[in-house]
Amino acid sequence: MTAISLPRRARMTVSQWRSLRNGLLFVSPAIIGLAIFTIWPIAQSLYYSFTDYNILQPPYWFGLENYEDLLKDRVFGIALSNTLIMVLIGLPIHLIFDILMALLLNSKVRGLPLYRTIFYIPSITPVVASAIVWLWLFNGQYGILNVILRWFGIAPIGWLTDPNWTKPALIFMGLWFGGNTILVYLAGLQDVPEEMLEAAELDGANALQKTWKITLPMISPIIFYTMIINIIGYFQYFSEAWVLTANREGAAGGPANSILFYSMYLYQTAFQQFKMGYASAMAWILFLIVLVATVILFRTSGWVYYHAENT
Amino acid sequence: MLNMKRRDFLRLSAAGGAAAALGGLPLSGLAARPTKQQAFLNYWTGWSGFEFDVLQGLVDQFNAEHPDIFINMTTVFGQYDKVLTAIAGGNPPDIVSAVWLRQLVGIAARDALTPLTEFAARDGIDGTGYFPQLWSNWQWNGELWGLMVTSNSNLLAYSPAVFAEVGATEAPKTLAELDEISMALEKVDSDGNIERVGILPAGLRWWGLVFGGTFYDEANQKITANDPKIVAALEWMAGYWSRLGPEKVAAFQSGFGDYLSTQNSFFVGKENITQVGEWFIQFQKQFAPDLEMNMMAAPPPEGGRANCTTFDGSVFAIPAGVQNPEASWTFIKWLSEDEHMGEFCYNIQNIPPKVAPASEERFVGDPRFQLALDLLNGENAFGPDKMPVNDFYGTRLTEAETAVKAGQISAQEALDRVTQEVQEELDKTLERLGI
Amino acid sequence: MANTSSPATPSLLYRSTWRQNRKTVEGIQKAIAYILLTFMALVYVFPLYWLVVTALKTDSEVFLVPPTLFPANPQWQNFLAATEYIPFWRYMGNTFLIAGLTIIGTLFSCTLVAYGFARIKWPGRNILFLAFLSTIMLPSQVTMIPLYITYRSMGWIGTIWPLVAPSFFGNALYVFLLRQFLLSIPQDLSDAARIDGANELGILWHVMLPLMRPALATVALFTFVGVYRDFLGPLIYLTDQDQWTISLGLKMFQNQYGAQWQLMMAASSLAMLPTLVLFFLTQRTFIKGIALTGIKG
Repeated sequence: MTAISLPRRARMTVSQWRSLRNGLLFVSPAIIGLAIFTIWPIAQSLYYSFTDYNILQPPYWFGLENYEDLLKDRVFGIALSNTLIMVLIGLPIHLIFDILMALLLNSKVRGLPLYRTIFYIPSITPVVASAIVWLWLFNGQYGILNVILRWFGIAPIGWLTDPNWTKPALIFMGLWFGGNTILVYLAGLQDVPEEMLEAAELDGANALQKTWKITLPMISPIIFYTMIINIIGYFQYFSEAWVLTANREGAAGGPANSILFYSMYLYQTAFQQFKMGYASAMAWILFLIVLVATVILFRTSGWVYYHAENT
Repeated sequence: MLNMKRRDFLRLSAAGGAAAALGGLPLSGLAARPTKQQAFLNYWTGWSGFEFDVLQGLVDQFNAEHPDIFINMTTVFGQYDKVLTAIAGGNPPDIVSAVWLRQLVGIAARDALTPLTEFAARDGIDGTGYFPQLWSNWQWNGELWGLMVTSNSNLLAYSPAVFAEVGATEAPKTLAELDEISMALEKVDSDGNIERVGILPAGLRWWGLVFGGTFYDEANQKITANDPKIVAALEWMAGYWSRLGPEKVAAFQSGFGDYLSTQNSFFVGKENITQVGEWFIQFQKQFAPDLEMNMMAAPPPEGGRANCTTFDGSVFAIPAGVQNPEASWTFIKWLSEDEHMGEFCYNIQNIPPKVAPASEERFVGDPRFQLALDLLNGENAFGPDKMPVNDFYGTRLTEAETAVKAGQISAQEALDRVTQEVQEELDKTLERLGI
Repeated sequence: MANTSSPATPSLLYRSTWRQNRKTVEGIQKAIAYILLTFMALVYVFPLYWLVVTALKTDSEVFLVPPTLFPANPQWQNFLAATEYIPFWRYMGNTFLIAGLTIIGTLFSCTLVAYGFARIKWPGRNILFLAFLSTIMLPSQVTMIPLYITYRSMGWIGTIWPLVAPSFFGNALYVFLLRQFLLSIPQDLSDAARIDGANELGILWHVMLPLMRPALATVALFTFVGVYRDFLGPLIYLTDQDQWTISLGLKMFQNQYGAQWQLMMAASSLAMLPTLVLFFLTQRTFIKGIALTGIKG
């Protein structure tokens, strides 16, 4: 009995080979797409970030100068901090608010379909159209929000004219736009098994304890999922702020650049000033930030509780 | 609920295809279809509204007179940045006039335009007959980059009737008088909201020059935004904001109607001294024909410049890489002829850049127009600074102006910052260009 | 013997009051929930209400303070007038064209790709799937500029192809959704078809597709909404005004005529109609689709 150690990857059977071929054929659009639209551009982007390139003239090697300039760029610092504030403050507010709304909706109220529709619809309206309504609502002198404030005797707020209020205004507006997340949470809540909750009740748990100890952990995968999806969205925040602040000359960002976000500044640098190299450097820095954020998110995801019975 | 057929997949795709086809319908169809032998030229203009209509009349005339060329004009509604975007994107229009004079050098420096030097030399256009201060602004680095068919100079408009309300019988000659009249005109309602103002000064470049400052030291290629006179100008402007309250002013301005309409803030009396060009004469005739409107030069402070104006305007140019620059040039040359230039300028009340048409009675018969013309020909008429980062400079100045008016930063600090940042940008650009 | 009944009665009493208390507490909780929900629902609906109401006002009524909650004299012609200020229908048409092509591309590619990841077993499948999925986390800015430069060299700037072409190569989110769906279909169906001699393409066409209808409808709907709402893409690539989508058209309307709020609102309302109408016609598909995307991160 000779101990022949076969190589780990023994030859495949014909049907295995066919499966491999078929599998690759079917997913080929995705693989090709991955190469053309993701991997190759990322590499190109890195190259351009080391050049000075304005499209009309050939690229000009710049070394690390773009990155050095970024460190000194005052407006870049503002754009970066604005974006980070939205991610670290705006996103949690959005998600927490949506969870609370979903919990409310889950308490077996009548007319659920109607509520659901009302909360969902804003999220499918074109951003430009809806942002324009909010532009009017936020208007300092004629907007209904300030009219209501004056009614209560509070001084009117410069929602879009006071740099201290522009981000809260956006966050407030974002809650309106983000109603679809409420429905995602609701779907998850409805999957929480009744028996668990009843059992907890019999053990004497009140509503708060039930929610904290059972409901939330049960939907934690969904919460994690929405965090991931939304964090990308918040890092790429563009349309809402652009519609509210961009004027005819292409300047945007609101008073004191208070709602100039990373992708807006990148857009202006790349497509208005045509400094492609500089903009590519910006893009790469964002890439690295998001990478780090993703890793941190996944590393600290111990609180996510995966149920065993789902595939 | 699971009885679907694969036909439904086909149906879905068909629906998608139908949507595509339906969507495709409105895409075909132009107002007038050109023939195959014609050179089809796209011309992007910045004018809109009634000004566009006037120009369209001239374009139609050109098309009729030139059977081998068809000009298709569209407006970018004042969004001039679209031009550079299109040029950079590789599919530019054949002719543009949506380029500000202050942008010309910057765009030319980027190799985005086709130089007109040879065309002009061949056809005998060498600046004779043009106002020299304009002609010199279209040349840079040894080439001619564009021609203007219209030009503007800047001045203030006011209504004598409203002035009479506060006891002002004649136009202010000094800045102090202007302040006095303006403050007398201001009205605030019981809630503290602004109802009416005199002037809300804007445009640091203009007022900085009125105060006697210099923005660019051409000999040394130095940015001088923090010239003490410019700082003083900015502080004066911001003074209006801080006195009225930045929030109140912002709210007030957000309620202004469309500029190009009867609801223009000047025509409805919200603003009573406004900064305009001579083209505003035509606006008034169109939208407020019964309003009596006078114009005056910006009154200077002590040590400032009297009868100071800035001039700018749309420049006709040919983007780089167009297929038929010859045809493009034919249109620009035709429009620049005295007769056509005169007709266009008269109907939109702009100053023709050529001396002969500008001196015609139909123009100078109106004293307001004559004033604008005198300012343009005066010794204190300033064009844009001829340097490649002019646009960037303008953007940073506007940012500084906004910040100072909102009370976020002092004028000195803001302008120091602008000077430093724009100087860096300028140095880098000049180095890249090897100038 | 007399003692046996006494412990029972208090506990019975206790349980019934306990239930009564619980019912009241529940009742109060429900009432609070109703109040909060109704209040929030009103807040959510209000901007849309205000949109239509403002669209119906005259230009002077718009600026009244305090504002009227209902237009004094509804100006229905504002809706028509708004469409004459910009080439409204052309822009709508452009948007539908792009949406239609994108839907075709998405359905086509995502179905194929999802099938390959779900119904065929092959080595490296899971790793490749994860790699593909990770593109969700990629900020679009990183690839935006090189893609723009590439498209420019192909002469595609100013056309709709930069917006449509990528959809033919699969979309990670929708592939994920379809794969989830496909995974839940029992293996026996495929095996039965294989025994009958069908190849993978045949199985996909004859067996899977009919079952995938709801999921495909969801993907089509979400794709439509996504294209309709897209702003940055058209902003960068549609440099020719004739090709603009309704989002770009609205922004220009705002830049140019935005001070005429009633017309601006009218234009915005009209722009919103397609997605709203679509939603009301296909509500269930939307809601189910949300549940599908939300399951298991």
